[in-house]
Amino acid sequence: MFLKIMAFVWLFCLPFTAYSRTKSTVKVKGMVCAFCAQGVKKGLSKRPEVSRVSVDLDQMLVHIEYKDGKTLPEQTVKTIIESSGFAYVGLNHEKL
Amino acid sequence: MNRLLVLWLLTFIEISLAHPTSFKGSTGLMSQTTSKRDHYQVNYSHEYYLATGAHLYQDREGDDMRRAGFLSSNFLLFRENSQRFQANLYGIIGAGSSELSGEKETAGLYRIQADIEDRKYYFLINQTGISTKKQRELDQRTIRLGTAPYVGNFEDLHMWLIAEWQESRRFASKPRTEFTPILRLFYQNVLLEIGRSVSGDMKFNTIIHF
Repeated sequence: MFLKIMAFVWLFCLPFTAYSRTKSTVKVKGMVCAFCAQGVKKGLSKRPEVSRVSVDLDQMLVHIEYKDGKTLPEQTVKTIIESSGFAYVGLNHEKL
Repeated sequence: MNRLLVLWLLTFIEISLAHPTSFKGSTGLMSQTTSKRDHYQVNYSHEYYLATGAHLYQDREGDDMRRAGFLSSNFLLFRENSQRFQANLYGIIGAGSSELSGEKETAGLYRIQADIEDRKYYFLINQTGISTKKQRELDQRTIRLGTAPYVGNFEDLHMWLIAEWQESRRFASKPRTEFTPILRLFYQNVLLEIGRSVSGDMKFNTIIHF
């Protein structure tokens, strides 16, 4: 009986864990021009872990949405931002 | 004869006013066209602060087409990334040759460029020189002031209105001053500029980077 209950609970929770995705919000300095900031979007979008990248020039933020169960190390994000010519300030991870 | 060659070269030098360097691994294709001259440029950015450029200049006089080419190293010497603006200082140094009926003249190129921009305003100034072994043959100063009539989001079509003032002194001739209002449009990685100088010369510039 106990095993049946545990199996039922596990099966019930499985869909939620299987579709758990994360998102990063990156703070950047110097990103005033959309033409120049294309390098940030390109550099992040080609990473296999990334599903979507959006750029907010008003707030100088880059939003990164990851594929299921994936994420990028902060150092990798920092390197991509800085190789595009901008200043990396910081990053927040959150679950979607 | 050498002086005529250099004068010919100087009549159509239009140095690209694009960013001399871009994001790491990017390739930039640039063109500047007026009624009588073309300038094509390809830049590859090894790093965001270092690029290699190749330049081709063409001057059209009737059926006669004359060409010159340069290779350049482009440097980002200084950058300030602020919460509200970005300021840059660039340097370019290059070497090349011009040809006429099989004769070649070696020429050197330099440029110093400073610019600052925020979401709504833009200022640029640069000094360009071309020299042969014997002497400096071109001094050119350019100043640009621009403003965005609207501030778009990242994925929007962007527009800038730019006023360009340019003074050129070629060899021993008197300096020539040109004022050109320019309309700039860009969308994602494609930029277009179109302008008409006060003297009536049309200018058309394009930049694509990928």
